[in-house]
Amino acid sequence: MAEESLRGEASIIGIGDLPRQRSWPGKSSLGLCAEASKAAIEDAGLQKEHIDALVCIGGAGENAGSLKFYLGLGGNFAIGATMGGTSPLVGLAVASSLVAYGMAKYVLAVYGGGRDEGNPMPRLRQGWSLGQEFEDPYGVYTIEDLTLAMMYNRHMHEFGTTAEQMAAYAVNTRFNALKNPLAVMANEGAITVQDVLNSPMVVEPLHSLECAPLVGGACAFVVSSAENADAAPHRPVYVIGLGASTPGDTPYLKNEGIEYIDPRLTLTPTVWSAKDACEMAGYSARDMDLLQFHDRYPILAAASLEDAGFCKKGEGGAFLAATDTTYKGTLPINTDGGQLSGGRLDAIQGASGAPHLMEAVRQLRGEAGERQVEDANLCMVNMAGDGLSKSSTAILGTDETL
Amino acid sequence: MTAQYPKPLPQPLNPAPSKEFWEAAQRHELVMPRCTHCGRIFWYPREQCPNPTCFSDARLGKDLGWTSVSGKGVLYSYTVVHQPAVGFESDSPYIVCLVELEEGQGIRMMSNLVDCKVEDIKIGMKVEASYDDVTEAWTLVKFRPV
Amino acid sequence: MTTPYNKPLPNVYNAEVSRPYWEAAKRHELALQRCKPCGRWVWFPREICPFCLSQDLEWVPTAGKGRLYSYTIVYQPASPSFNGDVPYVNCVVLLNEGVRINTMLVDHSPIGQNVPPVPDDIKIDMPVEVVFDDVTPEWTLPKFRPVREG
Repeated sequence: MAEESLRGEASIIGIGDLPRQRSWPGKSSLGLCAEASKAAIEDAGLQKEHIDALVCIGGAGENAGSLKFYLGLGGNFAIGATMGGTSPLVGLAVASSLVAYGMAKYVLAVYGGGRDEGNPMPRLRQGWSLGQEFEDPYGVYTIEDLTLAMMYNRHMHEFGTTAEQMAAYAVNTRFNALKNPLAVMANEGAITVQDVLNSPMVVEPLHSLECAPLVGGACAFVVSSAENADAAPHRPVYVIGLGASTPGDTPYLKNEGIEYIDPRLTLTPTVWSAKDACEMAGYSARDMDLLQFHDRYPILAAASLEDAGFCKKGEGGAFLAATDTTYKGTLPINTDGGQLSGGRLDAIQGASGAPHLMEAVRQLRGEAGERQVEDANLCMVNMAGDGLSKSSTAILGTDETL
Repeated sequence: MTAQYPKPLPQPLNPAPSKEFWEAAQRHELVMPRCTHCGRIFWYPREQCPNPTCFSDARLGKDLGWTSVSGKGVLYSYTVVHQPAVGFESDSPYIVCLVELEEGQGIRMMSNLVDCKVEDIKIGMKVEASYDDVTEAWTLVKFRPV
Repeated sequence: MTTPYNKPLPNVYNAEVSRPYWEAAKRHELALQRCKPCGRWVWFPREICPFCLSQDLEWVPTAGKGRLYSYTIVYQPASPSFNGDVPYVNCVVLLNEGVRINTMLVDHSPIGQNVPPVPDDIKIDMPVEVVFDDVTPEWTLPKFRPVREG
């Protein structure tokens, strides 16, 4: 039962994860969500009847009501956790709260989307935004790519970050993906820094190998209280820290002009969400054994790492270039290939980084196979939403770090 | 016969808090929403002042008005778009930018940078508003180097 | 000269899944999915059984018969394209297979085709049977009518 903190009250006891593919012909978002849900429920050692609440992450199956109906779930709450890319961790926070207070015993949370085969173009924007009226007339090739490209340019201008540094990260991430059968680039071979720099420009300075490929798939997980986790078949993974920060609506506009919001484009809300997560957990950045950080673009990972305290502001580029972030490295980051080589799950109100959470759980359970990081007991998961306007951070651990 | 404008036009809310902004643009003027309560300029236009110490009081029409701004600013950031958005194919590559207005207060407008070669773009360069009468009913505020 | 059909046609969510339903309708057959492992009938068409989560579903013709579970007479349609049909009857039919389906009740009057619907003619729980409306060359919509003696 929850007392003053959510720390350690909830556990992820089951995961269901489908391969990331460019398209899933004949499969709908609801269908993919259902497959992943079934896998997660079985992985938790449960039957469908045990699930008594549903968290619909992002645009999973269009909305929580449809998804619940489609799955034939009983129980009480069906909650939509829609906060752009931060949705999976927001969903985790909601699920954790429900089980901590005994409002549900087993919560299923799921996200998924099938790519629309007839339309290979990425979505212009994830959902409605106040800025639409004032942005779309200027040729927005996805507001997300645009915002990150402008942040990248600004980061290069303020700190001297280089494309070569970003490419070094991309090389390591691809290395990780080659050992992950679920990754979309698993069979595409290794890449070099030159490959990245030679790839076509999308929105300058983003090269196409710096942009995560859009894919379809689904991820689901089951959350229970820490007490109930002992009965589950796998080693429990505990939610030790949680934080979120949503200073903005549109991807770059953080309610500019409001004093308490730092208007620097290069500063991500991770500054606040990571701080809150660490405070709840009682751990700091240097305690982490591995990281799962949103990397739709390497520059996003770089800026988020700075803001989470892994290096000084502005040094993210140098940090990534100098650090072996492979699964065998000094600080493993995105051991599954991240989104950059794993694929960016695409659906309305996208929660593209749900796979990061899946891999965090696998690693902490000791079930990551060839990619297994030794003594993985503490993992920070960080997600960015709607470009740079939101973030959420979770710190997951095992009984050793509880 | 005017050719049809193939690109997205502004789609304001109804009723639109942005009405004065677009009307001023048609006059080739730049105006910003301003709260008479706290004096802040803010962007995007909305019916309440977003300043947290103020927002419960100020309402559009009552305390929120519009103020003329110079149209001058600096280039805060930009990107050169090589994969054009739908309708922008013939403009590719084109420049999308964030301009920080000289009035400050963190106002940054997204727009296109025009009359500027890609190799001449510099973050921090001075820019000024340039008005593009794209259709009879709509004028877009763009920016060009000073 | 046939007037074009201007009312909404099915907005298919997943063609792979629902194609058999619409193809059966064209053959003037009302078919539903049935889960092979647990034997339950499933509606709406989907990729997974909502009872046992099995993906082993097959399409099976139904008897096309049921009872009127509930209904309403529409005077103000949501879409102006239905103005010419007003007043018409939307209803829920409980099929003999145990599945409830939203549909339209037609031929509701024992007197004739163009008589407006009145509650006296429409009784909840009355037996109904499927009929098929070939609205366009591509699309057939299953509808229901009261079962009448003789």
